[in-house]
Amino acid sequence: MSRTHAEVDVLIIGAGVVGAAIACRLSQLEATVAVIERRHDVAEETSKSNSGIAASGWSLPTEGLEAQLVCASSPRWEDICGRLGVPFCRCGSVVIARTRHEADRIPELLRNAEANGVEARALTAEQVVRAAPHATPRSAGGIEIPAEGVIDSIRLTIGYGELAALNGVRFFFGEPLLDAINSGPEVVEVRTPGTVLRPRFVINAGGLGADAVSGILGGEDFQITARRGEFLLMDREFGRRVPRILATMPTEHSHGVMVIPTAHGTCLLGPSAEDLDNKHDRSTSAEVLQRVLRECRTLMPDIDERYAIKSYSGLRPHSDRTYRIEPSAKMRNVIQVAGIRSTGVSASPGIADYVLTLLEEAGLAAPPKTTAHDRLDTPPSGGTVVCPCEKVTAAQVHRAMSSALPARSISGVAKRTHATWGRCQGAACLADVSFIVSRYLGGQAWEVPYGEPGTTLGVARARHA
Amino acid sequence: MPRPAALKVVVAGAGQRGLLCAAKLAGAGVEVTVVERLPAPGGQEPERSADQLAESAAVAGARVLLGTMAVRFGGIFVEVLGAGAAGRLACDALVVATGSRPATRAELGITGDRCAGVVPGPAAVQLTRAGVLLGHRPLIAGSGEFALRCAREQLAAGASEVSLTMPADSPPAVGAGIRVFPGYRVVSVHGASRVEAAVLRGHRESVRVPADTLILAAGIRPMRNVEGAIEPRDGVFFCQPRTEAAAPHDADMAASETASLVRTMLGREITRIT
Repeated sequence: MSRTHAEVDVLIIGAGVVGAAIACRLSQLEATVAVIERRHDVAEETSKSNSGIAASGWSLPTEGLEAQLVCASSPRWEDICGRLGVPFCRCGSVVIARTRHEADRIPELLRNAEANGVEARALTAEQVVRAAPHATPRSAGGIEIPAEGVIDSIRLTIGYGELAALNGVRFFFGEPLLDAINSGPEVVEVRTPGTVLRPRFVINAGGLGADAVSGILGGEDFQITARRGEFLLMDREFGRRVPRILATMPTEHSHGVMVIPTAHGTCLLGPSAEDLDNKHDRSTSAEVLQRVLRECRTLMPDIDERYAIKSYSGLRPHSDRTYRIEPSAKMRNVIQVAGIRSTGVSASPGIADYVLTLLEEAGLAAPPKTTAHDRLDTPPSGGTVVCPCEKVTAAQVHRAMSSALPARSISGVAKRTHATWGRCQGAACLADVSFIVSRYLGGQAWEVPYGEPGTTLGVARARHA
Repeated sequence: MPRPAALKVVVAGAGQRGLLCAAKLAGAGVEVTVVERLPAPGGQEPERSADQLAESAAVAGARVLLGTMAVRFGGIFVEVLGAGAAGRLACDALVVATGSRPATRAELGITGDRCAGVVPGPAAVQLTRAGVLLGHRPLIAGSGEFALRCAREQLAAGASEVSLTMPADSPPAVGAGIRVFPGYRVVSVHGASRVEAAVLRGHRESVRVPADTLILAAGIRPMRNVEGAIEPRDGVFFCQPRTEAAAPHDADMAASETASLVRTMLGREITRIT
């Protein structure tokens, strides 16, 4: 098979929320942009399974780039989500001090919030319950942060990607970075199994794999490890009792578990935090999930675990230095966007703008594209319902398969529409969804992939059919 | 005394129970609308009698809207979404007759990898009939008749060996090619991209069984997807099988019970109002 050869102004490596946000930002300019991604779709790793919080940045260290970019992004969600059709809700959060000792930190955290320009109010135990009726009545006080929100991070990534694709950005999926050819301190050619790309600038948005990408490009030597978070997804029937985020007091390193409403009306419990030796173990265990439940009950005592729809885990990048967003000191046309730990979703619009200024400083002179789209069409409503739990119509599944950034698998449809992701977990709709997918992909019905190539629905044609 | 207007009842689901219940209510003078998500009556597994039942309901005076789903109950109306259009149907009560399903992976407490090849029982039945062999060595998490049927269908479709977990009192031999694990339940599945094995726990020991797909066919749960009518509340009547054994057999009785319950409750309301 012959490879695709192309010269591009900017090559983005990685189609998670960060890579997609950058692609979307650059698609507004007169520049040729390509994205290579090792997985079969956008949002296949950290951006797929996270807490879905659009953070305000209230507790982040004021001096850091992370706080700067999260705080710059937070006020923009209504606008961005409106244009990209992404479910979002600025529900606010209540942070709960469970002991006197934890309550002692409230003044210091309020000062931090003020320094970051984020509104935060101290609450007494009575006020905690008034602000969040589902919260424990036995707290030692808390903090209310009205600007915190929840977002569908998968749909956000897809929205960024779809708008970018609509504006001419080329996405190459299933294309892991194989090698790079350098000329002195510049990357001149990048190869994947199916492409040979000659970029003027390269952006390393490799997420969990950003360390390996940097190594192949000849950039800095750093290490990224995976921290696993296990979650329980709770039914909407439980979710309607959870109007706001409940969180434990943040520490410098972690947020602890949370009770999180989702932008779809369901609720998430989690995450756990387990450091892994590898970067692909997304398994869950009964012990950890029980621990998550126990911890969450210290925030919200009345949690009925029978409302759990599914459990899953996500891996987030962990590195000694976070928010390494800068031109590489070794390869002058490479920009590192690495170590974006758990706030990638929350900072993505800010990161995209920041990376654009870095590119301009490095010599990218691209005027705005006057014909660029800045919003996506509203998806079709009405029609035959395929997925009764999430009320997804056949028309919506067809749109998912035929958009500017189409789904190529059952999970691709689920990510775009939520079909098969409701309370019956596909009992009612998996077959119908897979038949629609197979019509677009061609081939036999059993060959339809759940996700990556090889994860086929079946193993062969059934004998009697 | 003014004559009360005809009572309006929406029945969600045109399976056996929904249609029987609709016919009985309509026969008693209630204004009944049956809404069915799918384009044909009969529910998930249409029986031969489905068209006949739909006709009986229509003859009794019920209106049947196919390709239309009840998505939300708002106390005095039902919001519908369908091939025709989206809109609201005014009603005094909602009968939920949307059938049942086996328990999900989370409800069965199965942890481990989230790999491909874990298939809900009803989807497995549909896919197999449409020509998809789900696995050469499927494992079926089961508890009753439905799981046994799944197991036999998998063999007939070309599976080389079928493993089946069942309750402790099940007979260990149910047919050639089916390996039964009585008293075991699936606790976790493992596999890098697709199911490779599952761990079963019995009373004394755990065993690891190689398998390339896991079909979830254990337990029975009411299928509930009309928002606002997931849990019991005023004006909502559930007409759904509660036990696996009851599923097809007691439909007629369950429909009668529901219909008379609806009439009694609504009758009381009306008396109070007038």
